[in-house]
Amino acid sequence: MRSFIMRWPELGLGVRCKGLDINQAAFDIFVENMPTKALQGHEMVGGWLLRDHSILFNRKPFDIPKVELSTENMDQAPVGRISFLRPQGRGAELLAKYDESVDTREYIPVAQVVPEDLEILKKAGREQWKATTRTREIIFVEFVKEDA
Amino acid sequence: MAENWKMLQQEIDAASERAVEECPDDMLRVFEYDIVRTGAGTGRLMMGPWWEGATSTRYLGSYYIFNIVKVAQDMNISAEQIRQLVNLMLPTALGTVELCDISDYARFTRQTIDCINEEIDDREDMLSLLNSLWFYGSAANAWCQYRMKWGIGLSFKVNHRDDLIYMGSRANEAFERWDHEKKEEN
Repeated sequence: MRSFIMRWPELGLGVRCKGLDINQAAFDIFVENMPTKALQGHEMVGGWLLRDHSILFNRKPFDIPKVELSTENMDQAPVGRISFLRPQGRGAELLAKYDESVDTREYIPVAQVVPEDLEILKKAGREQWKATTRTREIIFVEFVKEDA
Repeated sequence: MAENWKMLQQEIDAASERAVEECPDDMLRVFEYDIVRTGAGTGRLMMGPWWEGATSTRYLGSYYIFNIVKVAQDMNISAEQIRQLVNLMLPTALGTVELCDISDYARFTRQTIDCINEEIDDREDMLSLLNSLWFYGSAANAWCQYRMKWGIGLSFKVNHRDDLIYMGSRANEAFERWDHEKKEEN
């Protein structure tokens, strides 16, 4: 099964993410660049989304033309959706939807948090919101292949 | 002078990898310690450099540089056209980044523009350097988003319909009370 782990060591939390039927080549490039880590951020306009502004693709650059990528509107995406924004060359932005979003723009879905881990994702989202708006604690996110 | 751009790219790439885990000094200075050495910040109010600095950082990398690289995926876009786009799209946002004392990112961008204008003729070399700069900008953007003092915003909630109805009813109440109170003549 095509999957990876998204985890937050500072929070002691992690979720399992499965590939989708679409954008499989994008998923594969992402996994090929694992392990990778980023500063965990939070979306501040469009709703309850974890947002990573700089996912580094250090092993294999992202070279899939935009026309070959499927998109979906974030407000229509299911909770647990992992999506790319602006994947290109050396990196991408990544969003993880953990609750409602009003963002009608298109993103590139690459994975889905498994149903049994959705509550963990929501907990991570709430903790990150608290860190962003109150405690200012620095939280990193790591992406690792599932067998790592 | 020859091959300066490759040294610049190595420096930008190394800074990008550091920025995955460490906040760049310029972001720390402006968004955490509220120090702006350029004199920016009218009336010494920090909100201006925060707001304009964060926005211009975002626009410079994620919108302008990214889109130049993206449009140049069309092989009909020549090196000269990429150069024109760089000179058209980057300087204004870069000026704001500089004004807000986001100095490392500004220097990388200024030197990238110089290399594209004076040294690089090959379109793939231009795009390679711009791609490195774009990723550095993304990493810098992540930190300025994080260091931004969002807690200030807890005092200012977005009003929804119910809030406005409630506010309206209280305002009406206040006027009614005023209307029914005996007015003292001065």
